[in-house]
Amino acid sequence: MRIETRLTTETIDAAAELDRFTKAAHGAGAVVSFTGIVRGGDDVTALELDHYPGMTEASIETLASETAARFGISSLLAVHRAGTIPAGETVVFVAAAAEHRRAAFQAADCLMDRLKTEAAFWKREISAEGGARRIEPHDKDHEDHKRWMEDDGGHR
Amino acid sequence: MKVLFFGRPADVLGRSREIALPDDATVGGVRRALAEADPAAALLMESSIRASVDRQITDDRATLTEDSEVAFFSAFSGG
Repeated sequence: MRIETRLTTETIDAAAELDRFTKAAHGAGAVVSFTGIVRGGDDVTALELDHYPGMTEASIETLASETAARFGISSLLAVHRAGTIPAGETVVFVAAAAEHRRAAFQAADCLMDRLKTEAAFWKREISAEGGARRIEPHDKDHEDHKRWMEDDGGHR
Repeated sequence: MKVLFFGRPADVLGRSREIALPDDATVGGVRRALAEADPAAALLMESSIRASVDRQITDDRATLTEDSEVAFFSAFSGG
């Protein structure tokens, strides 16, 4: 099992990450990736993600390790950006490689749901006028997260 | 000792404060000491505001020394 996690304040090149990940995923029959992009509109020009150096990296590593073990993933990559991220740019990229597609889909889905509520980031939306609005997980995020806590799908 | 804030606590209290280790040298003791000294810090008493000591999430019973790094923060929001 190969797990890589990275926290960066630089631009994430999702296509390059996926290309590199896929080339390194020897023997896998399936690669699933997810790219999270800062939504524009509603006057939002950027997201600002604060993090706690040390704790944030550890939280991502733990979530990635648990997800890989749970779904029998052969390699897993999670890259998360912090700092000010303009609308249209990538905030998070995850990729999972497995022997078969179901495990790869589930791992990417589960890891994203858990990152939303368990990765140590604090988020604000920045508007064109320079205003900042604190964002906390919505009910939907908690429901999404609960799917993986209640039903282990027989994978544990 | 240094106390850090993230999320909503940082919005009202700034990123950090230097305080004397309270007589009740626990996470809960620091919460109460900050809230008593500054009305703006009342939000630290909300149950949704969690804490860490030396970057490990903990509960209010965790004991502290002058060298402990305590942080208080609102709900995580990644992804």
